[in-house]
Amino acid sequence: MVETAELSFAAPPAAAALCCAVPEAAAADTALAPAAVETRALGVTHAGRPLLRGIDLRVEDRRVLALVGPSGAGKTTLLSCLNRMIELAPGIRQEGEVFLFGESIARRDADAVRREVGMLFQQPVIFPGSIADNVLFGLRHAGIAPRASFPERLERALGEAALWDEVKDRLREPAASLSVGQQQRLCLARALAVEPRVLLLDEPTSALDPRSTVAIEERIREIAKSRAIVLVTHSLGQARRVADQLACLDRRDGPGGPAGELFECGPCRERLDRPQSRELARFLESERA
Amino acid sequence: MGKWLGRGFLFSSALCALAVLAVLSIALGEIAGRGLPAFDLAFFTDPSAGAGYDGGVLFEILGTLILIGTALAASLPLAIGLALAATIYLPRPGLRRGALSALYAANAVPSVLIGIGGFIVFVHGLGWGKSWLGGGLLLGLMILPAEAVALIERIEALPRRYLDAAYGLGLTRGQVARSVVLRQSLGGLFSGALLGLARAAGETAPILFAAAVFSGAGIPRGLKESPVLALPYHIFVLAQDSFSPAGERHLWGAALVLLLLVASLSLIALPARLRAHEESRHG
Amino acid sequence: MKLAAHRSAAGAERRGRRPDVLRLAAFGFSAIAIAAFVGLVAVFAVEAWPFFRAQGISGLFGIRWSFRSGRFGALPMIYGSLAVSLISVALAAPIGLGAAVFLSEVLPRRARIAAKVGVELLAGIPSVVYGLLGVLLLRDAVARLLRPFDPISGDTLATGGLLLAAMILPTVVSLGDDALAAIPSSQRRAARALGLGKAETILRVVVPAALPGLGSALLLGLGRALGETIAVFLVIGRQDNQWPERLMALEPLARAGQTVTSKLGGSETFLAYGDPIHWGALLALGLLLLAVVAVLSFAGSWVSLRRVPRG
Repeated sequence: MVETAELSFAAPPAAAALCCAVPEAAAADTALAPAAVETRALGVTHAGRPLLRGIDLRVEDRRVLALVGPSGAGKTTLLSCLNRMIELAPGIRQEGEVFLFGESIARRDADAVRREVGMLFQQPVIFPGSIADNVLFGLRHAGIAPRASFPERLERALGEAALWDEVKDRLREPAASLSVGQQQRLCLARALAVEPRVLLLDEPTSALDPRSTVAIEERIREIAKSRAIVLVTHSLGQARRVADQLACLDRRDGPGGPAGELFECGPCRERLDRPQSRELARFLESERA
Repeated sequence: MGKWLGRGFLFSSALCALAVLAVLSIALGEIAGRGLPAFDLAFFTDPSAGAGYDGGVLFEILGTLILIGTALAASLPLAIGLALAATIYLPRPGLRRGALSALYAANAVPSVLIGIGGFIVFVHGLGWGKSWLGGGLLLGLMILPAEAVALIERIEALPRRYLDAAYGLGLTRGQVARSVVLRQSLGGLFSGALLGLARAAGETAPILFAAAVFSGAGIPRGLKESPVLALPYHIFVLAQDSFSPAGERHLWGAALVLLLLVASLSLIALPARLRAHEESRHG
Repeated sequence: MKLAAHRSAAGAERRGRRPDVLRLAAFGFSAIAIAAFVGLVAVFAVEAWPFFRAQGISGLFGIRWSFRSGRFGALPMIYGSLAVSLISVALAAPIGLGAAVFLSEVLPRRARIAAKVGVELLAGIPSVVYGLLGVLLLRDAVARLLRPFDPISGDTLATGGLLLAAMILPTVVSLGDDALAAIPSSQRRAARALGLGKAETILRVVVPAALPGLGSALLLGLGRALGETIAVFLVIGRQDNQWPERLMALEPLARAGQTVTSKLGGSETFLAYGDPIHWGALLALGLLLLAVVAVLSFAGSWVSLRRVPRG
């Protein structure tokens, strides 16, 4: 299932092109490995109206892919396809395939897929209970580790989320007593506790203050050293700071109506400076304004 | 939790829903099946006869209608007053919780106690004897809390911007109440009133002591010693004795009439209630 | 800014512009309504006073009720009320809450609306009609079922419990569904995204979060069961002084009995009016019922209104 990596050149045709380019620096070791996440001709319709069309996306392991584009383009929809959360919405039809490390996720157990592909939402979602309860929540049901290892995993997950020092003395306190920034890091720890191989972040810092934002961005770089990350973000600065790859989604007219399509994919900083598609260039313009 | 345990749980919840559906179907099916044979024009237009087991239920229906009409007239102004007082004229936060708790408690008062209260106050205290007005007032008292709650919840569901815009224009609270709040929440009042009427139509205990007799009454004249017949009481009395098969058919027919009356009142209110309910449900 | 606008409106009124007729009417009507309910309680208290003065409240806690000999022991009735109500809650709680879970979490939107309509229909069936169903259908079925206990007829406490269970079922389902539906869907989404399955999400996230509302549903169902008169009256046999030898046994449930409400709704109430002590005893019983139902109702409200109300 190895897709030949294609370096995309200048030509700006906006058709859904194969994506993404292998980053120059690591071409050697990733060229022959299956991508962490790969979609082929992925399309989504809801009650007959198309939401996504013909998405061919490739996310490399141990890299951060920033997914940008105007509101309503379908970024969250795309993200939900990667961990089969899209199936929970009624009236959704999906076509095309999504592969996780070479295996089609449609053929696997959905719950197992969601353990391997973690997700963080825009607003931190805290379960009633203590901080420790929250972090261990997914772990308790995953059945991947013996209870005895929980305390150690708790510390590790909180450490990865850079929250351990702040909460280590109050693990039994209700999670609701944390600030919003801390809650989001708690959600990150909770997602990390089940040891996902891919992490999907849907605008994780848009509800946070600048200081928490910086903290989370630092964590993303750290976490990416052992996982693949897809980051939906509205902030180009964040993409520049954090991401290796950049993909741009925008709506384009087509059979059935306008739907989200992938317009550009490549090394992040390079494309931010020299966009190769009209759509990305237009998006960058509108964001700068 | 294992996959099969999870599926078992969902399956058993489906069984529970099925059980509830079964209870509903059996109840409605039996009433309809046994009551329909009694239906003919005479059933609705003839007064009851033959110790109550023969004839129709004309005056029972009329009596019930008189009672619930009185209940509506008595309860609506009070319910509106309570709702306005709780939401517009005294909108302190602690008061809301207290008011709603009190209204829920008032709604839970067993109807037999309201009936006995009426026995003391209307039948003996005021010397009315068994009177349609006493019964109507008691029923009105019984449905008053539910109407008030329905109206309060509807008022609180109004978008704040309506109120803010009106106050910002300099309207007094009374003007706001009249022109904005009441007009927008009439739907809630309407459905609350209909549901109250549906409940009042079916209640036996409040009218048992103070308003209803089993026979010997028609259209009431005057206030004192002017009881009425009523469907629930009719059924209640008949159900306590043994009877012939024909009498049994009459009994089921009366029950079906009552059920249809209650159901139609509830169903009219349904669209408004469903709309309001789905609006407030989280996604 | 909004508060300031409201306050200035109130201030303008207070500064003596034209008196607000609607405000007067609202307060006036509220006063009437409150006075009516308070008056009800007061009337009961006043009429029950002769009994309290003669026998005190402990007069009600005897085993024998015989008004001719001046004994008003209501324990058998209290036992009857509790037995019948607890049976009904024991039956209606699992079935009703299970159905509520199905309604709220499993059914697709349109089916859920249809189901809620059905539940409302069930809730609207008058108690006298349930009583009729009990008399003409349930009674014989129970008599057949309880043959091992050798009942005299189908009029038993168990029959009352079964009938009440059917009557409070819609209350439990509807309130339970409301409680579950109030949990935001973001909680469910977050749990599913962690890899929890549907059933696990319901049991570990939704139900625990909705426990206050579910508990309140059961409390209110119990209150309704305790206060129900007509249906219970028709199927319970109305036998006084059925005090069981062993409280926790099943056998007394297969016999006829009496509840507080079936006593109050019966003909003895009419007859007792002239005798202050007898009448007072019955009203004292009514006050006891009122107190218990009020406590249950306030407990249910406290449990479910505990969160800061929106807006």
